[in-house]
Amino acid sequence: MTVRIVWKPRKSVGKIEKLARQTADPLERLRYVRHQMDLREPPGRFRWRQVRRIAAWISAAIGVALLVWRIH
Amino acid sequence: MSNGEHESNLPLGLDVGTSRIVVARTADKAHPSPYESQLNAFITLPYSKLAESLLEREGVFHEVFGGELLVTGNDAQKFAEVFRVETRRPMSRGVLNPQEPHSLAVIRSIIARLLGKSGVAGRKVFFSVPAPCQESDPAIAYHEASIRQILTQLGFDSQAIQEGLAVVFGEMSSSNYTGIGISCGSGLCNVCLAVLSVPVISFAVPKAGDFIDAQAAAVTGELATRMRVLKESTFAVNGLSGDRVQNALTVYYDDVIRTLANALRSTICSTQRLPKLDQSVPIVLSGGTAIPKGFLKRFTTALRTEDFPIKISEIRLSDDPLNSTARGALMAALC
Ligand SMILES: Nc1ncnc2c1ncn2[C@@H]1O[C@H](COP(=O)(O)OP(=O)(O)OP(=O)(O)O)[C@@H](O)[C@H]1O
Ligand SMILES: [Mg+2]
Repeated sequence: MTVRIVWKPRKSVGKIEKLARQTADPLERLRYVRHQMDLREPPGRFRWRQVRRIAAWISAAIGVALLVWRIH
Repeated sequence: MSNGEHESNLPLGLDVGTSRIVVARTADKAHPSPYESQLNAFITLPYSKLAESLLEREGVFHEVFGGELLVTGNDAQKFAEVFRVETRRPMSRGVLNPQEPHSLAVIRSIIARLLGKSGVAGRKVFFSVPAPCQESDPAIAYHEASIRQILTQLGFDSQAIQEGLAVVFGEMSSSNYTGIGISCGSGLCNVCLAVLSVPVISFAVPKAGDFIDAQAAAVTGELATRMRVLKESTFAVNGLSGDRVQNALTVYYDDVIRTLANALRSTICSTQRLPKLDQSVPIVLSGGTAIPKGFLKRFTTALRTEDFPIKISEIRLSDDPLNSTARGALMAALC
């Protein structure tokens, strides 16, 4: 889940703009734009948090692997 | 009270303005016009059987409140003339007026009349709130909580939306809800720069219609109410003339326009981490104070778009300046 969020390509603003223009009805357009912007997380902070979490998982996994290897 | 509201569960937009409260709804048979408004004003009369029966005979909505008769909304204006009293206002500078003990009762009465009780529990309503004038404005939190409480008591599920953002929602579909929405109202000019519907900068300037009326009245020795009537009927922002009142209105209109343009420029300049705007953005002016002829031109000149910190594609006046905020609030509620 975490990995999917981090690596999921985020729709660019340009693409949101282009797709929004295909919706003529103002309300539908607002719904679309708001929904797309909701999906976009604030880039800086969010990504770092996720990256830190993955790094922690990977180091923990390496630690466990090393431990298991040493025991055997 | 609006009878049709009992049958409907459709969301509503509510503009709680310093001088007018406007409701926007999806037009239907019961409400062929999507907008309905009431003056956000009242008069009090000492209670007497005679005055009460007169109000009843005229079909005037009134309440008995602590030994006084309270006439609110559009009727207040009408009866102020009949009874020769001044209208009072429950709000000042975009929020509940702390000097006015009747403020909550009056606003409750006007909102209840415009919206009625929610027929279905939890009917959605978005209501406008002002943006802070400085970094933070603690009065806004109390104002917002009070309006929310009134709406909850009427059975609505309410949510606040800043007035500038409501203007963006109501006016900027053609730019995908990117641009600067400005509402020049009675107590404040509310501003919001939004990018794809997300508010980036919101602020308010504490000079608007009331400031113009009060200052023009002070220097001409006239009543502020008279200034307001003149301003709304014949005034145009087109320089000084031979007329004393016209000149006073022009001077303070210019003051409002310059203050707004300077605040917009300095706020954008001082905002760090502004998102990169690839294209130029539009500005839409709305609110009653933007209506007079010449306002748009003066504002455009004052903004000096040539060296403005972001590229501006156009500056235009809303097609329906008095209903823009309510319309945007309705759009938000319908989302
Ligand atoms: N035709 C007009 N010409 C000039 N001024 C007008 C006109 N109509 C309304 N106004 C002024 O516009 C102001 C009211 O505008 P509006 O209804 O947008 O304000 P509001 O939403 O009640 O206030 P705020 O947003 O500041 O809380 C008043 O100062 C009024 O005198
Ligand atoms: Mg307003």
